[in-house]
Amino acid sequence: MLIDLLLTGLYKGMISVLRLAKVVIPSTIFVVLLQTLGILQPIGDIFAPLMKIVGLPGQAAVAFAIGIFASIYAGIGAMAALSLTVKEATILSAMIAMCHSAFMETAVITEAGGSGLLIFTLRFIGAVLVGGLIHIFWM
Amino acid sequence: MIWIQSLSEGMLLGCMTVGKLALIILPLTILLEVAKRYGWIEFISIHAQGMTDILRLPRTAAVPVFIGVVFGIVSGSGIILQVAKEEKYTKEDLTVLFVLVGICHAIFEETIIFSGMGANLLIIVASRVCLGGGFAYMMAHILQSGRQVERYTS
Repeated sequence: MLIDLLLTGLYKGMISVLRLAKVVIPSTIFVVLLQTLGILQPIGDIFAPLMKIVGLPGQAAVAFAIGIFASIYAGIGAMAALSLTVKEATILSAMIAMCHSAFMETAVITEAGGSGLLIFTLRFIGAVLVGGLIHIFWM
Repeated sequence: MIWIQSLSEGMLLGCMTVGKLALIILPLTILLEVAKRYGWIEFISIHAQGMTDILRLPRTAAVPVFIGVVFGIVSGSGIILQVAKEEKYTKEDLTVLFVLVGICHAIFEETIIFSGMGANLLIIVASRVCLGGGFAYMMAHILQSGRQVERYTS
């Protein structure tokens, strides 16, 4: 009985891990490639003034954008390629946790009958707000 | 040469991240199976109904809110869509429900995976719960200002 539950859980877990691997590994490679090809730095410079509001380096904008447009796991994969301090990792994590998978999750919300656009807007505002707050109050 | 080097470097980093995620996700999926089998979810849903009154939602909304907060929007969408359809919620009800669930969902899975990145988990959970609850409360009072909570307490 308990073994049964254990195996079902393991099986479902392995399936999601494999599904994640397909997303995490390519996005990590993508960001590492951007880095070695010298593209990440200029992108970071463009977003640096914006990201400064939430206390993040400009390059973090790439991970945040990947999180929003792809998924939370792709965002984490991109994060893995950046070297962040604990404070920066916490801010970026909170922001991605708050606002991610814009297309898929908004589709489900709209399908269920909620206002997808309004909810996405609130999630984005929430992410920026939380990033700023953590930045200000971090000891 | 530089391509191959960064490909392998990215591959390694990516695999390490997947490994970290696996260590977190596997125990969690097992725990969720146990929770489902022993009816912990229904138990908590029933006891969470005070919250639906605060958000001016129908009482039955405790189940989809709880499912969404614990399992996530996409994983829990089967149950959420089903309840939303059967109970004939209004568009305002659904929007308030999804403001909360949209900001604050898959709360265990999506929080713990960030521990691998060295983030402070307590701050992430606290910010999602506070902002999700706060924004939902705000929207409930904007969208449903004229509504009587008592209507639903049948």
